[in-house]
Amino acid sequence: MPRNDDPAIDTDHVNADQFYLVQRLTKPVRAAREGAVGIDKYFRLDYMGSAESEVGRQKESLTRIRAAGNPTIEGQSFTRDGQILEVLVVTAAAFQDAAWTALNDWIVDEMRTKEQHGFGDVLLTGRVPSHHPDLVAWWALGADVMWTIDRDVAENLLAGLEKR
Amino acid sequence: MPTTIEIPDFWVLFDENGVAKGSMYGLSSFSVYPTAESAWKDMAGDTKRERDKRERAGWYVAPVDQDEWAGYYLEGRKHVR
Repeated sequence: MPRNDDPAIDTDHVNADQFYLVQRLTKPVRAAREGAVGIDKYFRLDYMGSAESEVGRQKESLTRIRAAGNPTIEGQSFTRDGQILEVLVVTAAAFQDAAWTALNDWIVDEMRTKEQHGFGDVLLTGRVPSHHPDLVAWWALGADVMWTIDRDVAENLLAGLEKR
Repeated sequence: MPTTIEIPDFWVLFDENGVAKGSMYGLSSFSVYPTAESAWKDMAGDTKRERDKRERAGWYVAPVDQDEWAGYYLEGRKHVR
């Protein structure tokens, strides 16, 4: 797993306490618009509380991840009731170690978050909740951690971060 | 006769080049902004002088759907007035 060998890249914010805002990412409602780039090309950001979109938490997180550079996909398996679920984290390489610790800590702490994120249903059943059929990924805005259970979606997260 | 007001998902503040500079929900748990004027007053500056200066420079607010928001606000897509 990649390490943060660059002391100039701050990873202190990549922790479970910063999972209090989790943005839901869904499939786009329609095909990508001509000229669409980045996250906008592959995902629709689901409705969140006003703080996220008005204060600019998504923009801040995206800027930090891109500034740290070299986004990567790292997978880890979670086992619950004998069911194995592979979770794929997408973020800057320098954040990956801390991201996994943060994600684990958040799950152990019963995924306490300001918004309804639906990830608990995924861990329990291996599927997204029925009331969020288009939900494909999650993004902890304060911690700069994106994750999914779908390999194709992980590739799209990576492409979105790289603005491909 | 009843009047229907269509409140957009977002109001986005754009500069004279169509680059997003601010964003707010048209309707949230805490507030409602039914018109561009109400959104402009809240986003374009704390004082009338500041808002007037930006208006003269060509800044404006426009309604934006949820589907369009990330393109303008996160990825820098230019808005055409």
